[in-house]
Amino acid sequence: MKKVDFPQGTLEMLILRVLANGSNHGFGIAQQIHLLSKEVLRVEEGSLYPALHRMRERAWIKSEWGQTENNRRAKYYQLTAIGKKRLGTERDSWEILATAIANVLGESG
Amino acid sequence: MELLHRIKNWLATLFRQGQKNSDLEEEFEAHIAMRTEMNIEAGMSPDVARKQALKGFGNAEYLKEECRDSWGMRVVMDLLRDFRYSTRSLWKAKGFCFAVIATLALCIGANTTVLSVLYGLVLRSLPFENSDRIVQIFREDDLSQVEGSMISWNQYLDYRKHPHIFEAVALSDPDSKIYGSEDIEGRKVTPDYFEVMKVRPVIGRFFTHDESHPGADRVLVLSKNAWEKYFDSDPTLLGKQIQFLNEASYTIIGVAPESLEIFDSEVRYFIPWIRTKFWSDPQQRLGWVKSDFWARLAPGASHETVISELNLIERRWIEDIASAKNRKDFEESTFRFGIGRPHPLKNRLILLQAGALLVLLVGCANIVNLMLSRANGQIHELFTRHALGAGKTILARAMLMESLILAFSGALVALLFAWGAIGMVNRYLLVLFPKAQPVVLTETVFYYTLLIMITVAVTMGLLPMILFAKSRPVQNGNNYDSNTSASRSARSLSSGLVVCQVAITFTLLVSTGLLIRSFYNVIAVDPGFEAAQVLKGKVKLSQLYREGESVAVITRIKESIREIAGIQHVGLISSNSDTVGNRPRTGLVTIKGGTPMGGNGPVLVLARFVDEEFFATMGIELIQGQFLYTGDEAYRSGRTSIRTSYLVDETFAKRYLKDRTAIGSQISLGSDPPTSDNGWLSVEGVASRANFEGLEKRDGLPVFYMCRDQAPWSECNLLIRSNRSPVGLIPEVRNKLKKVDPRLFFSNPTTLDVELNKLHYDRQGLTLLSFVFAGLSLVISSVGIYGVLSYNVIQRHREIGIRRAIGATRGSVLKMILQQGLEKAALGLVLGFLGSLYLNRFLESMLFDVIAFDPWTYAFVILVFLVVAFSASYLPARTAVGVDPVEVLKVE
Repeated sequence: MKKVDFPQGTLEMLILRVLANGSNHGFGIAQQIHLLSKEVLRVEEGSLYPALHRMRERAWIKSEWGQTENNRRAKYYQLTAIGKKRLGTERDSWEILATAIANVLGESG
Repeated sequence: MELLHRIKNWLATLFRQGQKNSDLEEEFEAHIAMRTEMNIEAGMSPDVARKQALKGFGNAEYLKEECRDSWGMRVVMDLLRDFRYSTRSLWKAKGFCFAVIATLALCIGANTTVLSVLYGLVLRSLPFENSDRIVQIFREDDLSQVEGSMISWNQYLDYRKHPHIFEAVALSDPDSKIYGSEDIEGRKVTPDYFEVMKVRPVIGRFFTHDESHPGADRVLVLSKNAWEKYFDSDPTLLGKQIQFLNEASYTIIGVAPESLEIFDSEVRYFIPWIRTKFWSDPQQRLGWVKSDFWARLAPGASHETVISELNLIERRWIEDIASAKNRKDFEESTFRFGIGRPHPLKNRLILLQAGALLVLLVGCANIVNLMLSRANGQIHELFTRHALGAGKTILARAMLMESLILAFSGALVALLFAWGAIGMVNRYLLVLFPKAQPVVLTETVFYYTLLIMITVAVTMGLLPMILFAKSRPVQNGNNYDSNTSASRSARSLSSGLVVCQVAITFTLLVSTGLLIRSFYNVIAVDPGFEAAQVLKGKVKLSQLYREGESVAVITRIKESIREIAGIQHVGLISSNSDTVGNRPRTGLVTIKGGTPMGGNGPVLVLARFVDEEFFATMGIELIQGQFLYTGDEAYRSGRTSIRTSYLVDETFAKRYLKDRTAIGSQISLGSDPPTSDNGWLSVEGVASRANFEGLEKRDGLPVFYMCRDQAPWSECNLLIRSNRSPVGLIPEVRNKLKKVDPRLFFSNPTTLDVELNKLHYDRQGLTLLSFVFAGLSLVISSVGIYGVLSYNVIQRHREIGIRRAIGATRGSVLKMILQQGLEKAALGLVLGFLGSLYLNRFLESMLFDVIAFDPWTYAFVILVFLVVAFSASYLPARTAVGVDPVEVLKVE
């Protein structure tokens, strides 16, 4: 299957969406995005982290150290109330944008 | 919330940088390890698995940097870097730092000190609820110049009925008692005093209006300090009796809070103030009362409204109630109401503060100049950094950081300096105002210092920056070094600053010169009495003896004191005012035939009730007439056993009895002529002028003496002249008094010397501080001239060398630099001269026997300045002459 790069600015929305399922560590988030996108979207894994730190700075998510199933220490991220609200607005505007783009493409195509 | 979160993160970044960095490291490592494991599970060899994991992760170092950026760490890191860079570069310029910090410390320190005193004595708000509404109301009178409110009991009773302007009004007056064998001071107050201040008792209660009537008034409220000092804060004290010497006892009903001690740190008690019979006559209204009148204004009542209402109330009284006589007096009087919180030092302190601010300006000008020179020297380095990619903001930040560090260090030293200076000031103030609470370095003043510091830092950081921003690195970058001349704007700015410094310093020097001359003129005044070797103390006879008995007791006291070895004279003066001091007893005297100025009204005089020996004790001479009139009618006819005569002093005779022979002039006490012609009293003698109110009051109120051969007063001051140390006499005098009657006590002993000197401490302090400020300013501005010129010489090194090479003589170079310095000084002098002409009017009330435009002072200050400016310019000029043209050309 063809792999595509992320549209600009959607990474944060995707992270929020993944964390809506429950807290997770960076590696887990990368995996989840990969899986949920039916293996279409692939993140350059490290680039998750600046986004995660930025989001934590804005208090959309919070972090704490925890144990993985393999007994490894990892930092777990979790949605905050602000983050949940943010996910809602991001999703709404994405839908509007997506429909609009689809419309434009449909017309000219 | 979000902001809080952010601040928390910032702080975490700042203080747990290492922790956060290692966390990040660990997080990345965990990720890569998990990916590696997964890759191994997928069948890769461990080596390959890890390599793949790393590759998939991306550039870890770059990503870390990005993460850190999001922490807000960037700002912190940059600040830390700026700080490190600035401290390093400042450390290399220790002389420069020392000059800046020392200047700042002295200038800011002086300001902080003066402001602390000003704040502590004048500006500080009272420690009471809505204290902005608490005011003192007083009568200002061109004629009297008497301190104190002069609001009478009847006015007070009237004003109580006007709740729309006053929430509460009260009278208070100093009082003193003897407790054990100690003089203690308290206050007589009307019950509403506590309402005006809105205070609650620590324990017990305050007295009520019912208790301010004779018979019910033996109640007393202790001050907190007295409760602690004499009763060990005993809570069961209420209801107990307290006994003072020679008085009926009082019942203690409460303890006042400490806040009331703000007016008098040594107040021990408050007792009800009872209206005397005198005030039951409603016509007694515009009396000469010296109590304090306090008011708590009604909410929303402005000072102007209150004053106009008061005038209306007085007008109504005059029209409805006043007698014809009172009406006439009122129409002739010049009084007006004043409102606020008067303080005797207010104007002087404001002058000092202005002086301190001027010194700060001079100092700042110097610092900006130093910074400019430094920036000019650094500009090469700055351009290099700029060329290497440092943004202008980074360079600007570095300079701002430098000035912040300098200003902060300066302010820190200044606070230490102020702390020490305030300690010294307090010792001085204690002499001036023994009862004032000591001045402290308060929070408000601290913030003010901080504000000065930041202003200075920003100014001295920004100015060079603006100049730097103006210059074009592209044009200058290649050939800029510290030996080329500074930009035109930088040069004109620094010359301008030097001119301002000179001008301000000149103004300060002139003021100081005038103050010093005034001070010497004051202390050169002959007091008119011999203050040395006189011991003074009070004796209270009230309520000890039946009427008529006390005269004999006083005579016995005088006789027994004379038995002490070394005693020369024992004089007496009635003790209801300062013998020597600025709270004198004043009174009105009517002169038959009016005054030479044409008025028929009474004249205000200093009234002194003395015995005959008073004059000998004080060394006051008789110029005309006699001390005691042998032909006293009442005495000869046996109606009284005490002989009385009336004397005036030289000033009285000159001012009011000009065309007449003073002896035999007819006068009358009070504001009315006597009802019959027999009521006139004739002046028996003229005494030499004595300046009881202090040397500055040489031309003050004339003195009127009522002289008696025996003293009928219930309270009087003993003046004892001896050839021994006055203070050493105290125990012997006390012993003698005890022998006359064990109940007698010689209280408040002091010497006249001390009392007289005290009257000039504030002038002395003002002159001294102004001298210090002017000196400081002179030093700073001479350093300013020197600094700017010598930097100029360094910068123009090449130019001077070339000038020499093409034929300029040593003399012409010397002249050129000297001229530069002297031109600046001259321009500054002219500006300063104009400034002085304007500013000295504020000084006028402080001057004594010197006019504000005293030519000698101006001439002297100009001379001092020219010498200083010449020497400050000469040194750099010498350096300029030393420039070797050959060396310069070699470099070229």
